[in-house]
Amino acid sequence: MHLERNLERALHRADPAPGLADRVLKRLEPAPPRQVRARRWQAVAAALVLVVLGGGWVARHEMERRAGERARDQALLALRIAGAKVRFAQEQVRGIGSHTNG
Amino acid sequence: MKRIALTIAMALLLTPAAFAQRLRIDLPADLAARAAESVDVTLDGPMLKLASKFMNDDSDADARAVREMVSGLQGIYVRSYEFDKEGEYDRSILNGLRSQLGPSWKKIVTVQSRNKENVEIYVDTREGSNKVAGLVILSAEPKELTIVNLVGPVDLDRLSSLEGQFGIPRMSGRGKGKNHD
Amino acid sequence: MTAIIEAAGDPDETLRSAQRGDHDAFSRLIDEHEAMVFSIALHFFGDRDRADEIAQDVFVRLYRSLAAIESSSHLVFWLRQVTSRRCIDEKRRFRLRAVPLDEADARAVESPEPDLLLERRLRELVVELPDAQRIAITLRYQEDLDPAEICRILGIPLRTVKSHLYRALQALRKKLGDC
Repeated sequence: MHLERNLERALHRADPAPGLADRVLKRLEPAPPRQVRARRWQAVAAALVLVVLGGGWVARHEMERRAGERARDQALLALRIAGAKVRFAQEQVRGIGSHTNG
Repeated sequence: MKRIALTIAMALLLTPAAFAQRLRIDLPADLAARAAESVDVTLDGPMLKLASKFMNDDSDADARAVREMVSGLQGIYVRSYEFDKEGEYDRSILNGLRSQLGPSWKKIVTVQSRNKENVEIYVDTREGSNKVAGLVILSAEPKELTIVNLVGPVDLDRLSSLEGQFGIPRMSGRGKGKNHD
Repeated sequence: MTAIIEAAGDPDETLRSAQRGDHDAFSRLIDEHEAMVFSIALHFFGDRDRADEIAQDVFVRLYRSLAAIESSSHLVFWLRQVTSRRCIDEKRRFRLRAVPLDEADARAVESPEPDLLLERRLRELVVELPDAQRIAITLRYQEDLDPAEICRILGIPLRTVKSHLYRALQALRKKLGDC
């Protein structure tokens, strides 16, 4: 049996339900106004100037940003795990309660 | 020199509450190696402050609630291991963790489900206060072991409602449909 | 009109238009890459609804990160990486809800073609693999990526990727043999 060939066939790309782009754009509403976008680009331009003027300073902040995002992701993961466990326990307790009441 | 010694003594006097809520999670060194998947989160002090500082992407109330919760905590410690098969760890290793929980810790729930998923939740209620000042969750499944220790004020209802958040809102319905060829 | 046709034909131009705030261009980017993103999540979870949610989430993140995308090839790399990581992260969250096994089975991917039983069974078996093996197998056989490319996307050592692929294939062979 050619497992790898069968895997290629089994794991072919599939299309999502029609309208994925619409669903995504709906989640993005309200679209940021042009003025805000323009300001965002100005901020990017200012950041680029900063990179040129103070590369070391920006690099240090970039490292801090990465560390911060990693710490944030870890905190969120930890809270998800904790939240899921508490929720599971609550659901079990409610289940016992409903059985007792019913 | 005397001033340094005094500062250290003051620090030791002021911090026992936080230390009391923190578990010493000593697990066998080879546990992570035996696990198919493992999570090891240790966040306290400056790293926790940094984490909450970077939780400013979303402007919705849920994200704010998460940020508030994290910024109020002094420590987040999680160990979670998923194994390929059963019997990869000894459940008695949890005894060492339970024994660290002093009289201020109250077990609020024990769940023993049919599929052998045992969950114990302990909260630390400081004297004279109804607020939860720390949380410990010990969860033992045949193929998974999870230990959670949150140090600081914890709102259990808010914590349990965190599922489905973090920028992954539940879908309320399908879009109007545009054909994709 | 000509400009639109040109933009649709050149992926880099479409990307640049989307970066300038053109929602139609962003919509075209989604149309172009939705099957890839959706299918990675589908083969990871075996659940079309969840895959759809993951795909939406990835494209929302893309919208917020458009300025950091350097080229159309970087976009493909970024989408594969973010989708893979989102799947693993999401899986952990749902797994910890301890879904009963029979319910999990009921969510298995549906295949209406009765003559493709083996492929259907393979998809079911892939969904049962450990997370890291599953995403590696999906990237290898759905996206036709070599181990070096997979290690860059997942951010793990090359030998670990090879080990995941080897162990996954062994497990699949064994399970197919047991059927």
